[in-house]
Order: sequence, then C-alpha cells, then structure tokens
Amino acid sequence: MKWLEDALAKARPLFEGGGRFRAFKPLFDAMENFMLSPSTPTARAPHIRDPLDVKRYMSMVIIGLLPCLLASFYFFGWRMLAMIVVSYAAGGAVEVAFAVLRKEEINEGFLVTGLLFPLILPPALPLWMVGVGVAFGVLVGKELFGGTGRNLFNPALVGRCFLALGYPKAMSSDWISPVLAWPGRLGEYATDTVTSATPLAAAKNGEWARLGDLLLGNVSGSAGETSALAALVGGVVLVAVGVANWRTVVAMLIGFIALTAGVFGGSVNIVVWHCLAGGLLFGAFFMATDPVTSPMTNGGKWIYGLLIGVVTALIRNFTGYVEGVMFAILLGNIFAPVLDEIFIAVHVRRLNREG
Amino acid sequence: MTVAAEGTAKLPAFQRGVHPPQGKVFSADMPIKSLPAPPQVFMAMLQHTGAPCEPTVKSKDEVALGDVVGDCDAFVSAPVHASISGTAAMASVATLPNGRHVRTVPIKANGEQRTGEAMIDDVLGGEWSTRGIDAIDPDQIVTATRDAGLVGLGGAAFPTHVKLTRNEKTPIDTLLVNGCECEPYLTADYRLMLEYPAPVLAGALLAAKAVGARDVLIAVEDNKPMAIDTLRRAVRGGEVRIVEMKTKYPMGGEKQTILSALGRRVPTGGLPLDIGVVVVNVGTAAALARAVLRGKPLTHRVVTVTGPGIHQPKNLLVPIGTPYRALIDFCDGLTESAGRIIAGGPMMGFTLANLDVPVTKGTSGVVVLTGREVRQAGETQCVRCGRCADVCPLNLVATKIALAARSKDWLLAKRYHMAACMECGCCAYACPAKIPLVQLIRMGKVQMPRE
Repeated sequence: MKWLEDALAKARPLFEGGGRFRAFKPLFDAMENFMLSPSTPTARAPHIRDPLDVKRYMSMVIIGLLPCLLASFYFFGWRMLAMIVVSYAAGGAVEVAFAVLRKEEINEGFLVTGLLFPLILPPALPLWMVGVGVAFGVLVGKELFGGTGRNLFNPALVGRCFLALGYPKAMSSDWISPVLAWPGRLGEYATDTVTSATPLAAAKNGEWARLGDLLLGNVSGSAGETSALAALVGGVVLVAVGVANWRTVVAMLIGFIALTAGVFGGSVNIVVWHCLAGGLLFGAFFMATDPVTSPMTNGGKWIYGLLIGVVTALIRNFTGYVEGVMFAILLGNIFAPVLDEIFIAVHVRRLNREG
Repeated sequence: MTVAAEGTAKLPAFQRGVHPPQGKVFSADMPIKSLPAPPQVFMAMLQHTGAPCEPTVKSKDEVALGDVVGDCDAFVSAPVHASISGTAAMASVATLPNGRHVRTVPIKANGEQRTGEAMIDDVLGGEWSTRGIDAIDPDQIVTATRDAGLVGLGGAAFPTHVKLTRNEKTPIDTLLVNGCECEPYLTADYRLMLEYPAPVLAGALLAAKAVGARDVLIAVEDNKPMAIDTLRRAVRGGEVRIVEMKTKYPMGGEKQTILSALGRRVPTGGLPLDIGVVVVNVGTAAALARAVLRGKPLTHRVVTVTGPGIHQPKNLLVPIGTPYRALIDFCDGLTESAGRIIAGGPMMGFTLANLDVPVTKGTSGVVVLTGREVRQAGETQCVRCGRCADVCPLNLVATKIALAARSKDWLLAKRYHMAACMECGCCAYACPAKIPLVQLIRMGKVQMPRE
C-alpha cells in the first residue's frame, strides 16, 4: 500500500489551496479516506475512543443488507445490478455536486441510501425512473435540508414516495414473478417476465400467499423486501452489533402486531402472515432505524417505533393502499425531533426538581 | 434498589456508561516501589481545588522532609509540604498538565534522603492500630487533616478537611471509601488496597469518626477480586463493609458510586453531603491515617506509570513535586512506539506536553499510549444516532448540548441542561462521528456568561 500512499501524497497539492483541482477536494478526500485508514490522533481526553466510527457504521449497514441483496439477485435476476449502478451513479452525482459546492466532505451515508433505494423498488421499474427517483430523494430529501445529519426524512423513502405519486402505474405493477428452483433467475436479465400481484394486493382478493413462500421470498414485491428470512438474518446482525437500535425494531413490531391482532381478532396465523408479508421487516430493520431520521433518546425510539407499527397496520387495513410501511416511516420521521424534545424536557425538568 | 449486606451478590449498577478496554494488565502485578528522591522537586502552590498557597520559605532556606513550604488562610485550601530535604530556591511559575499556571517552590536535594523500603514503611507499612480511634476527638482529626495538607487523591484534589468538617444542617450517616478506580490502565489504588489494606481501613474509620457516620463501606469494582478478598479478610469482625461494584466507566465518579452502592441519588448540582454521604478515595484514606495516627503530612503518593508506550510499567511511591521525567526514566523510558503521554487516566487525563512539570497531589498515573490507541477518524457531521444519549450516566443528550455550546447558543444549552454534565467523557468515547462532545461542553461551561 506504500505506493498508493505516495501517489496520494503527491497528488494532494493539486487539490489544496491554490492547486489546479482545488474545487474537487471533497472527491480527493473521499478517495483517500476510502483507500487508507484514518490516522488523525485524538485531540484531548478521552484519549481513547470506541473504534466504531461513521464509516464503519455505514459499512455494517451494507453488510446487513447483503442477504436481501443476494435474495433479490436470486429471485429477480441481475437486472438488480443495473438498478444499483444507476442508483449509485445518479444519486452520487447529486451528492458530489453538493459536496463540491459546499466544500464539504462526501459522506459515507450515501453509500447506504444508494443501495437501499433499488431494494425498495419494483424489480422491473424502468432504469430512468430509478435514476430520477434517487436524484430526487438525495436532492430534496437530504441536500436541501443541509446535507447528512440534518435531513428530516429518510432520503430513500422520499425518492420512493416521489415515484409512487408521480408514476403510480409503474410503481404498482412492475413486479417480476420470482423463480424458486435453482438457479432462480441468476442467469437472466429478466425484463420480459410475467408480472404478478404482490401478496398484500392479492390478499385483498382473498388469495393468501403461503407462509413458506413469504419467508423465503418466493413472492412478488419490491426487490429487497420479499424474503422475510433475508431481512431477519441481516437485521439481527445489525441489531447485534448495535448499529440498528433494538428498541426501534421491537417497538415497531409490537405496535404492528398489537393492532393487526386487534383487527383480525387475534388470529395467530394472519398476524404472522402480515408480519412476513410486504416490507414490514425490511422497513423495521433497515429503514426505521436510520439514525439520522429516528429519535436520539431511548424513550423517543420506543414511541417512534410504536407509532410506525400502528400506522403501518392502519394503512394496510383501513385505506386504499395495500402497503403502509413507507408512509408510516415518513410520518414517524416527522415526529422524531418532537419526541426527542419532549423526552429531554421531561428529563431536565425532573433533574431540576430533584436538585 | 436496596442496600446489600456484606458478602451478598453484586449491586445494581448505575445506568448506561461505557466499557473501554481496561489495560490494567500492564501494571496490575507490579508491587509498589519507592521512587528515589530526585535531585530537585518543584512544590506547586496550587495542587488542589480552592485558594492557592503563598510560599512560606525564602530562597536558600534549608527545609526538611515534611516542612511546610506553602500555606493559605482560606478555608478551602491546603498547605504544601516539602517532599524531600534540601534547599529552597526562588519561586517560579510552571504550567501544570491541566493548563493552570501556578507558582512553584523548587527544592534542591541536600543531605541524606529517606528512600526505598524505609520510605514505604514510613508512609504505608508497619502497624495501623484502629483500637484508639473511638477516643479521638473529631475536631482533632479535622485539624490534623488540614495541617497535613490532605486533599482528595482520586483526581479532583478537593481539600479533605472541608469534607470532614461537621455541619449542623446536614448530618452525615455514611462514609464511602472509593476504591473503584474505573479509569483504564491505572492500578495505584488497586496495589494500595492489595498490599496495604490496614492504613486504608484505619483512614476509613477515622473519617467516619470525624463526620459522625455510622455506616462505613469501601466500594471496589469487581475487576479487582484480589483486592476485595484482601480487604474482606482485613475487616473481619469489624464494622466496615466491603461492597463489590460492577466494572463500568465511570463507576468511580462519586455520584455513580453512591447511586450504585447505596441506591441514593445526589441531586444535580448538589454534593454527596446533601444526602448525608461523604466520599473519600482509598489513597486519601491511607494518607488520613498517616496524618492522624503518625502526625505526618502528605508528601508522597502512589502513582501508576504504565501503558504500552513505557518499557517497565510500575506502581511507584513518589515524592510529590517530582518532575514527570524522573518517573518515566525510572521505568526505563519510553518505547519507540510511544505516541502520547497522559497525566491521569486515558478517559479524563491531560496530555503532557512538557515532562519537566511536577507531579501534584492529584496525580494518579502517567499513561503512555502508542499511536494505535489514540488514532481516530476525523470529525464528521452528527448523524443523530443517539449513542451519546445511550451512554450518558446522567441521561443527557450530549450532542445537543455540545452543538449548542459550539454555536454559543446559551439558551439552548441551558434547555438541554449543560450545567448537569459531569464531564466523564462517555459521550465523546462513544461518538461514531468523533465529535469532541465533552470538550465542547467543558468549553461551553467556561464560556457561558454567568447570570
């Protein structure tokens, strides 16, 4: 790695101060950061730090997404790869443009958004829509709020929401029927395949998909969400390493299960079916737990999770929409900062009263 | 939470906190050795929280070990005593690791110095009878403590006689001796409890007698089972309880120790004595026994010199005022990889930029880390993950306070209760965006205009 270090050190002056490419310093920094490990020493106490930094945090999310990603390749073909490439390219362009304009560093958070986005889309969606959606999500959902850490809504969900409202037909019909038998659709690009209704839509007509198919992912739906098992495996890893907060996940599931059980008179079969169907688990583990857009306080996380779970069940059962995870999480995002303020205010008042 | 009797299972710990790598292995098995008297010591006139002392000796005065060299009339202050015998020189100014500029009186060694085993015996060894303690007048203990220049040896260096002075309004029922030593790497308190439990116990009883406490306990983290055993054997039949605490940072913070050991909460902005508790460190207890039972002032203390960046980690009995360089040299110096020298522990200690500054009464250790331990990523945007809130022992949201302090929005900082922060550093340790949260809060507290 010595040659790489030397090459980067040699190129550095071009990007600094009066260098020819100084406008592209964020790009240079991102590359250096990505290729070499950090070497800045701590400034003052505490002199030692937890090894978990934002970069590792984001890498863990990507590792957690791997099972869902592999499942999507298997069931829907390698068109997924094209969608991911478009997502990274279009969203990355917006990200880099803003980093250069603001003279800030490119943030690793985008690597997560760019990967999450295609996983929550119908697998046969036209590629240009993927690009438009992710660009909208990053621009409006994140950059206009001031960039990473300042956004109110989950950028991937903002992009999906935009597509759902702007292109409702494509977003509700561009499904691909999965293939369970080995080698799935691994060998296909899968563009001209028959579409079929998602389990939640079919259930409205009284056709209930089999539990085993829901668990494995042998049903139609958004690319990454169909396999409940893959979401569980990746999600549990994320919770175990402390990257996804367990409180949010548990609260969301409790809220969802409680209301669904209420609606269906406590039928265990239907409650389990609803938990595995659609994007509930994917949303609970990977979307609701987004640190930026969920509350910081533990109390806030409980309420936020419960709210999302309850609202998801409400939308699924009492509105014209068959799936409610997206709207429920966006709604939860709105409440996150308020929940924090309430919990902090209550706690500070208690501390003041005691003192 | 209930108060556990001696020998019962572990006590419930305070909530949250962090578990940094302990690093105690470097020096945990090194018996306390005496550092030979250096050719020159520098007696700082302000080594404690409170009013600074004025030098009481002139240049070229001959002083003996234990002579007063600085004193002050203020109540919250403590005199300073010569830690070697020699000749005083012109007072000068030194910058201590905590950034304070203080006057120091140099003393050049002259004549024969007590050192080695003899010094350790004088400070810690020998008989420590607790039999006569009941007959001692509380005021006499307080006076002896003040005359000995005793301050808290755990780090904050608050004058001990102030804590021990009885106050009609707030009666004290419990004396808690703090042997948690939750800072990683440090083992000075551990070695003291293990090798010399007798002066610690005697000091605990004396302090309890002074404040009129009926309940006396010594709290030790459960990563020091040998110290716990030793203390339990030493108190057999006595009235001192030894309580085993969960190992967790900052268990040694007095509010956390009290909450975990007694189930009582110190009010925000309040002191332990508001709820009838006095806390002293184990080192302070041992020095108290020496001051009262032997009439000797605080001239030496145990300092851990440790870390991966030092050749021979050691626990040393050091004359106060010795330059840090002498300690490091005595431990065979720094290794090639040494990257940072810290006065105190790695969680709350100060970076040492100059090795010629003196050890003070509050110095518990010198930790030398390598570049690997102090490496971190650059600061990035807060991603609102809430880890700072999840580890804060006081349940504050550090990032909100810190960012308010950074932009000098004092109203906001107050709303998030900046004043309640005790600066333990858990938030900055845990922050994945590597924002110097505790530093920002500390700066904010200093900069915030007083009302």
